[in-house]
Amino acid sequence: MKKADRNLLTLEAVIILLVSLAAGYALLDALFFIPFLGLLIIGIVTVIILKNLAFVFRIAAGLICLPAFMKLNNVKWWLFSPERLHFCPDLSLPLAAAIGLLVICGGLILSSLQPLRREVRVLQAGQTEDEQVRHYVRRQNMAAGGAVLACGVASAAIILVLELARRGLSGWFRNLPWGLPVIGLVSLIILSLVIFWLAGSRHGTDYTGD
Amino acid sequence: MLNKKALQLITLFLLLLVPGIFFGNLVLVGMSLVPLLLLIVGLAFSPPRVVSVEAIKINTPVWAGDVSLVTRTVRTSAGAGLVKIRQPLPPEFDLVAGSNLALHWQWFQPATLEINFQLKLAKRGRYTVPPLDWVSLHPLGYRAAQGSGGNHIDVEVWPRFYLPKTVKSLPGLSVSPFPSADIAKIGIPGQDFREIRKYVTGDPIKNINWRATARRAEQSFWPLVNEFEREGRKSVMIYLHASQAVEIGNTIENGIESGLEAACNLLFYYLEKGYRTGIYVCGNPPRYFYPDTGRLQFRKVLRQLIDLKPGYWPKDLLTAVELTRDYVLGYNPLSIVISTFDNRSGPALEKAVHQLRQPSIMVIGIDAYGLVPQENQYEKELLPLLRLQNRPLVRRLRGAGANVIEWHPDHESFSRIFSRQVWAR
Repeated sequence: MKKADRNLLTLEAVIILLVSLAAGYALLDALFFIPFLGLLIIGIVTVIILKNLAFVFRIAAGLICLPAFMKLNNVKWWLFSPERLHFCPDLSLPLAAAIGLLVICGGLILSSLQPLRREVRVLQAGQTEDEQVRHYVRRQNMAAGGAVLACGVASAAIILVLELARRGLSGWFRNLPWGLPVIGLVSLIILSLVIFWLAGSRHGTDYTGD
Repeated sequence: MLNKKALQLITLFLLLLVPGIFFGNLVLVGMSLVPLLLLIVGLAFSPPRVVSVEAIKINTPVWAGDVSLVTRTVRTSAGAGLVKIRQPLPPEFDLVAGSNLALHWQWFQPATLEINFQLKLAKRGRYTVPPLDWVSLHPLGYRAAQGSGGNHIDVEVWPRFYLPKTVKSLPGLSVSPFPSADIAKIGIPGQDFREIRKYVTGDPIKNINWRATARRAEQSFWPLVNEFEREGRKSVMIYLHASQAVEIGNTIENGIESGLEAACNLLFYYLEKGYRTGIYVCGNPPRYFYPDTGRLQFRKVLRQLIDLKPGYWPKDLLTAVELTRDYVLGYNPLSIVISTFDNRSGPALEKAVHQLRQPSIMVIGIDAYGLVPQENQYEKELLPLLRLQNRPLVRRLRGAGANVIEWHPDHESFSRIFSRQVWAR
């Protein structure tokens, strides 16, 4: 196995390990090793062995974290009431945000590493020099990893600001007529769908290497 | 344009944002911001594009086996990401040094890239080196661009031939390579009418006898030409067996290519000596070049040999002998048959030698088994057995009066064995 390929594999293994640990802790606290081991096996099978099923691991990690995050809902719903979710640890908002961001950032980095590994294999099979491939992998990892981590940090800052402003905003929301938040929420959803549709209509070509 | 990856980020953003807002969950809202911000950051800049590719030129014609240096200079526009450039090459070209593929990562600034490589133009033929292909990728993989640029190059690779000067300048040391009869003549044909024969490739149009052609139009609509007696020197007729049976070896080096090399060398040698030399190529289609003198004849033949494709049947060699019978009987030239000695071409070769019934026949037997890639010990051991199998044929040919020259193209150049013949005796 070439050095560039080995480095990518190590990076993937580290991310799988960290995400599995965080998700396992978010689900069962002291018994974290049970979901941790399950998730680790899923990660190794779907990301390292089968190589193109990283999304399965990302979805599994997200679902395992979800009950703990649901305990922090401001809108209480019977399905996610604290009584029903008593098996999960009570996470503080900063800790839950840290775990959530770790899971999403890890998943996004994994999703960029998989096509990179495919492309590296194609390049290595061709006539590309090893030095050029290593250089490309290093720069690509720097770009993708740097961008994801920067966005994670920015999101953490936004969560902090929102949390600080939450109480003041709740009082302000209470004074508004009831229809306004509903209309605002619906507008936001419609806007998101419009953005989604616009992006979909400009569906581009995928580059899959040689 | 956005690709699947960008759409996946938008989907992820919506999947986290909607429940986050619905449940008033700050963690989910915060998580949804990561793909959104990543998309916004990613779309803020574009991947680079290739804006110009400098034209390249390979001086043609080149000889098979020559090495050419190729340089392409590429300029990219501003943008961040990977630029991958690749110069596609015909499969017959060998990359001797350098690489025809280059990767370049750039951070926003335009760049000038250069790829250098050396090509070995291994096999004769006419080829086109296509324009350069490029692909650029967004650093986060959201966008890609691709295209091609630069000129395409037409390359004409002529068959190898290199007779050393020592051979060229040895006119009389040997008996065997020279024709015994002295009928053919150098220079412009004389005024003495010799015969009317069928038109063959390369005959001047002015020599066509239109009246005779018209008289025979009902039988055959093939032009007839006047043949005049020439003064001067001897005559040589080369038969190149180029059927699929001879195609022993690999794609680049095989019996046909070796045969071509031998034919070119012989043609050049005898034409340089002033002999009237013709060649019958049993390929697809078969080609007959009526014996003539001078360098023009050599160039005329060479141009046609570039596109030679193997014929289907070894018995084409017998057809060749049949079609040139009149000439052989009339001029008594030195007949040279170039072929292989295996089971498929052997019978036709033996019959051809018997049919020629010439006092001076030279058979160049190409032993192309050494050109076949040998994967294991068994295949290596097979070579001596195959060679042993051909010994009776060689003996029979020698018994029929032919001067048999065995050539192993894998470890000996044709010029070396030919010079040995010239020095012999």
